[in-house]
Amino acid sequence: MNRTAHAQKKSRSLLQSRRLTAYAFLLPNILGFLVLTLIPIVVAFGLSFLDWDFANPAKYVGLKNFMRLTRDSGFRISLTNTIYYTAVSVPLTIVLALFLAVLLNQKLRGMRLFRTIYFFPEISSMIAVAVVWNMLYHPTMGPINNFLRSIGVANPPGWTASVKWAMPAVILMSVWKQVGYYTVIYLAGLQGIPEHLYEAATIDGANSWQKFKCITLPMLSPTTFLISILLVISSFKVFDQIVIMTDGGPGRATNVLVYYIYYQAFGLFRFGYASAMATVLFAIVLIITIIQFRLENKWVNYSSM
Amino acid sequence: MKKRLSLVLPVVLLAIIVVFSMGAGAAQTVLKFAVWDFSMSPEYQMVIDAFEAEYPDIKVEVIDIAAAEYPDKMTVMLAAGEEVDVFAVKDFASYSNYLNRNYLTPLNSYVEADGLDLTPYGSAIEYVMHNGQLMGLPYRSDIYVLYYNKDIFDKAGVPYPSNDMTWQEFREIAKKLTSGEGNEKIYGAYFHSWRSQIQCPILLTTDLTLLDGDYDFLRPAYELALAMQNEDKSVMSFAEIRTSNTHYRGLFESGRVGMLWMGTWFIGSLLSDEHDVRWGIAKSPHWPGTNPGSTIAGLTTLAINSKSTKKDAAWKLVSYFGGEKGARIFASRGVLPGLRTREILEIYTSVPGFPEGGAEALETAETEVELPPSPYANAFDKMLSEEHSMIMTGQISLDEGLQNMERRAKEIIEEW
Repeated sequence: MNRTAHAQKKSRSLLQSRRLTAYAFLLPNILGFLVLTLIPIVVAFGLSFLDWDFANPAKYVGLKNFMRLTRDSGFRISLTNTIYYTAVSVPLTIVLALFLAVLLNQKLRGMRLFRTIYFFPEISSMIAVAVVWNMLYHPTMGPINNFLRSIGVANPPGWTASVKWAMPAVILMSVWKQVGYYTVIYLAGLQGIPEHLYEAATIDGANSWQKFKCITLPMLSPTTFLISILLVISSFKVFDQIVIMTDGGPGRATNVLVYYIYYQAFGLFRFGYASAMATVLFAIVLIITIIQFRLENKWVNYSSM
Repeated sequence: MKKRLSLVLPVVLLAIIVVFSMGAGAAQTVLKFAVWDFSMSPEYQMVIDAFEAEYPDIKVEVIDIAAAEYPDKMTVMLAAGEEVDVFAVKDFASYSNYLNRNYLTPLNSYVEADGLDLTPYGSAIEYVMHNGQLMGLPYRSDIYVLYYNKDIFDKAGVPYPSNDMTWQEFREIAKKLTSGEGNEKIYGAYFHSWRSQIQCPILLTTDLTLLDGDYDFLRPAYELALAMQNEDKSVMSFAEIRTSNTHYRGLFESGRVGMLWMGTWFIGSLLSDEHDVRWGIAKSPHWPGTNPGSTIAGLTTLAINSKSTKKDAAWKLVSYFGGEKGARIFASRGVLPGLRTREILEIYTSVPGFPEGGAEALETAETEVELPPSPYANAFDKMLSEEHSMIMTGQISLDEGLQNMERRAKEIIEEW
């Protein structure tokens, strides 16, 4: 009796100390998340009901900031632009990353080198990359348009100087920059597909396209699901390349949500209004992610056979 | 180990305290002074050195911020309550911003106590008065003039620009000066990508400002600029300037620009930069119906942070920069001071390298500011720049551009 109680007590204290260790290891991350993410989100949500310019006392204005959103042409334009960016860049990145991953998954000499090359843009600084791409895009002296002219395109696009082409230019550059990262995720997924599935298909007389369609794609669907969620979220947050390459222009052609939020907050010092916009952005991303999870069991295949 | 640490620590701390308190000397007041591009403008250091020599009990610590981010960064610093005693106010948009947030200390009591005469600062000082109170003391005041490259004029056999030239004549001359192709092309003139290059000179023909929401008066200015860019090809295209990040300073100093409409701050750069351009200045071209010498003027002031605890010392610095002594140093370095006495102007125009006959080009008739102080100034500035870039890159017609400006101006005011 006494002994069991003692043992229980001992095991409890062991459990407790283990818990403590676990929490201690979690602490730095949780602390960072709390201080740098969760608290600012909550504060921003609160701010969206205020009128505050950083200097004069804040005023409670109820839903005024949200009402204003419905009338603001700047918000409408930046929301449209963000959706445009997301709708084009996400599928493009997924298709390209999958294509590259399949290509790089072959067992050939020098494959490591190619993998490194495609991953390279990912580790380069966005600022440097954006500046270089701006030079490539130069309408009259840039290599891209020089090439286009040399193959007979009489009027090559004005890229970042043109309302029509500025967004495609930014998208193209962003896809190039991020595709390596998602290729690596796909590569990992590809290597997780058991070889025997392909062997069985070969015996059944399937050609490579059929194997790709009926084995690779379904087996990769969890990876595709993960990638599409990551991409949609990061596309809604696009900011750095816009600031460097076009500064939202020409006119408002590349004015995206985060850029507009930044401008309202730090250009005009309307923190309440900017927070309202950020809250709406949060809601949009949340809803899209929820929809994605809802659709998950329609097309994502988790069985390993 | 632990014991040793606990012994060593207090000793080290004590040493640090002793060293620092010795360095600080006897009761010296330290002023924090925020300004942009300090390291690129040696004249500021010269004024500070002279000031510290005269007031040994005050030490000036400079907070140097890059020009492009100065207005935003300053606002954030002031809002965060960072210790800044004196700061430079770069333009009227910033001024309105600081004023609305109560960051500026009214200066009348100091002006009266010192018996400072404000008349030599000219009428532009009205722009930094609020409810009869002076909110900042001008230490620099710039006007726009016309810079020209004498070699390009000589080569084309065209007489140098006169002090009485219309913008139409400007266009004709620019056409004659233009030659060459590609990277060797000599541009007869140059409009930088700032909207003010096109939108501001014509302000002198109207009583409106760019904040009034009526933009039809801009039409002739845009027609001229677009014709020069698209038909005459005598100026570098807006799109090219933007995409290649061209800076007017580099382009003019490499001898590829015949005429440039720019503020007098560029005189200081031309005097101190290394280049081979033989340059001259003339009065700004003018639109029909305005007098020669009518031009755009800007004012740069120093203000005292309303939260500063060292306002008396701060005023000493402000009035030194804006006063006689500071003005002499600025003038001798090719920077046009806010204080415009005959003597100061003489120092300014007799700086070695100052172009002959340049003094006359600095005499002004009517002057106007780019954007008057207003709470909307920042929002208007951005809106006007966006529509400006749309018009200049030919994305929309001039009519559409002007209509957009009017519509968006209304939106800004209604939604404020």
